[in-house]
Amino acid sequence: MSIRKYMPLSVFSIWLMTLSWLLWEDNLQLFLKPSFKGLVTAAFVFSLLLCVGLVAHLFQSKDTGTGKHSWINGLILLLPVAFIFQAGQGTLGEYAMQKRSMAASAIQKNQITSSDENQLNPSIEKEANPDKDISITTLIRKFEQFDGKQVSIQGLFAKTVSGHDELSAVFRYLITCCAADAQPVGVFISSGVGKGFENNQWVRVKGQVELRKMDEFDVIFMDADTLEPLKVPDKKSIYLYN
Amino acid sequence: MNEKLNTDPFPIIQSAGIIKDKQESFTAEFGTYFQIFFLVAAGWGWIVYGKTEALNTFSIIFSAIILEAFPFMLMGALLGGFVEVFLSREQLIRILPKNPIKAIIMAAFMGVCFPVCECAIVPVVRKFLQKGMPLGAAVAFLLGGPIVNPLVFSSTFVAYSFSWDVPVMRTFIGASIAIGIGILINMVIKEAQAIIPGTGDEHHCGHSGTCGCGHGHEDFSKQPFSKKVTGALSHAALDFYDIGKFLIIGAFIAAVLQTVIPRQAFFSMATGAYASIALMMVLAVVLNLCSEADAFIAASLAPIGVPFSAQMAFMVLGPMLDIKLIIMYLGVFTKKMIVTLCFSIVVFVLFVMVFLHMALTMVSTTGAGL
Repeated sequence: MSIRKYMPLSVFSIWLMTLSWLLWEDNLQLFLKPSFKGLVTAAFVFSLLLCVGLVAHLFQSKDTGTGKHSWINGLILLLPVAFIFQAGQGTLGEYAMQKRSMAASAIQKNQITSSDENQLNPSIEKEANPDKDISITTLIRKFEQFDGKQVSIQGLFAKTVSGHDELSAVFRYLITCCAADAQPVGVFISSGVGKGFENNQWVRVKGQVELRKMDEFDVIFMDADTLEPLKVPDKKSIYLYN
Repeated sequence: MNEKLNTDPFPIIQSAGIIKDKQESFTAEFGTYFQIFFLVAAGWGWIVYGKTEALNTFSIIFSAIILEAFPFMLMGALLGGFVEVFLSREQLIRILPKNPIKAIIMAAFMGVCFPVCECAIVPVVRKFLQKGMPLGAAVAFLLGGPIVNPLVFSSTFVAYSFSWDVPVMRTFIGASIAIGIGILINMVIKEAQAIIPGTGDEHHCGHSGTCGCGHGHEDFSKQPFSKKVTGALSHAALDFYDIGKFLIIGAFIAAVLQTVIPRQAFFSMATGAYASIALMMVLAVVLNLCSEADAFIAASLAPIGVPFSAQMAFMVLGPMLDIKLIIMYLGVFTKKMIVTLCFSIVVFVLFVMVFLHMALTMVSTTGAGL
């Protein structure tokens, strides 16, 4: 029997293992919002069914089932698996923030539909000063309550902001469905405050917040009093889910 | 195992897909070389960019697009497999109205009871075409299905603060454009010129060459139920094996663009309503968002001055045309058909949205605008 005949079954088996890794090792939240677990579980079940079909095909048919360039199809279908494992080692960071701009952050409160964002990401809230820190989504959703007042938030640090060397940012990502639609949300601070800090470092920033115009967009600016480094929490903490 | 040929009013196009002239074999060879080039380029990119943050960002975006689309693609392949085995050409023809225009209108709204997104719909449409669905109706289903489906309606409803106007408008505009393009395609392109040729020597069935799926077909009509089920599953698997690569290549290109091009670059170009419409259409093609997610992105752009017509252009065009879909269409349609389809979609959406903008401007002068 030719290797070609076994290619589809091998490809689907590798995908099954990858989906298992995502589901059982709890790595799904690096790519999709947690409520999409059912969707990936469905993908696992569908893949399993297709494997059953392919096993039956191996026993029942002499047809190879694939064209002469089947190995190309197989390699292309396996390509995402390599990238999924590569991507599982990190999260979106400062690079993606520069490409996506936080300009819309102040006006995204309509987009944030969750009623209690602390439940969505408890790890970050438990870490320190639970009485003082507020989450970035709370800041955006209820900005009227915080406008002109002192707040403390946690997030990743970006030394500069594209096109505005005088600014730094503290941010996280808001995911609506998947990391492809992740939108950075956070506050801009004066770059002088962040001297000595590195890109993608976890920090807590405290200061007075207000809305400012930047490139014709409303943004949240914080007149920062203190910026302190934090122990790196669970890497999934970078994501907030809508 | 020749199938019954009396399929009026939708006769089986015997010539469809079995034309193998020099141009087509060149196209097939080019496709193979392109896929090899794609694999080499992906490997080269991996090595050159190593552990950079850019590659990490790309990997996350690429994986996210694939993981979000993967279940729907598998579901589409499974539906296609069951359609192949359990739905005969005659049954499909009985369901559809005999009048081609009525068939197109019905197909555009089939998504209401066939809730599949744009990733899942391509393999289903491919199977419907193989079963003899008229081209115009298949196109209407392909374009309308991902917009009129209830899941998309509810996500749009939530994204626009539980306002009924927007999802209703999106559904009817999307369906109208799907119907318009379905009728146009029905008039200007013959099925034989639209559906990709099969690889004739690899088929072992009565309709050899018409389906282009790269694997053999059996007549399941007299088989026991269990064999029908395993037949449907193996069909689905081999279909996915054949067409899944288009999703991956499309997602790869989309992820590269999302990684490299700053979104601000798009927004800084939107200097007026019409420019915004055009720009949001480009953004819809580039971002490749799922039709169940795009309303949230569109709604978030309203406060930064993106007009409603441009938001609607984004939500209507995205499920019909984006990079991964164009690549996936390569598994179903000929290049001529894809060019005609893409051009029609862009022109229809652009005209409808310009009209919508003018209408809303007129209405807003009376104080009742959105």
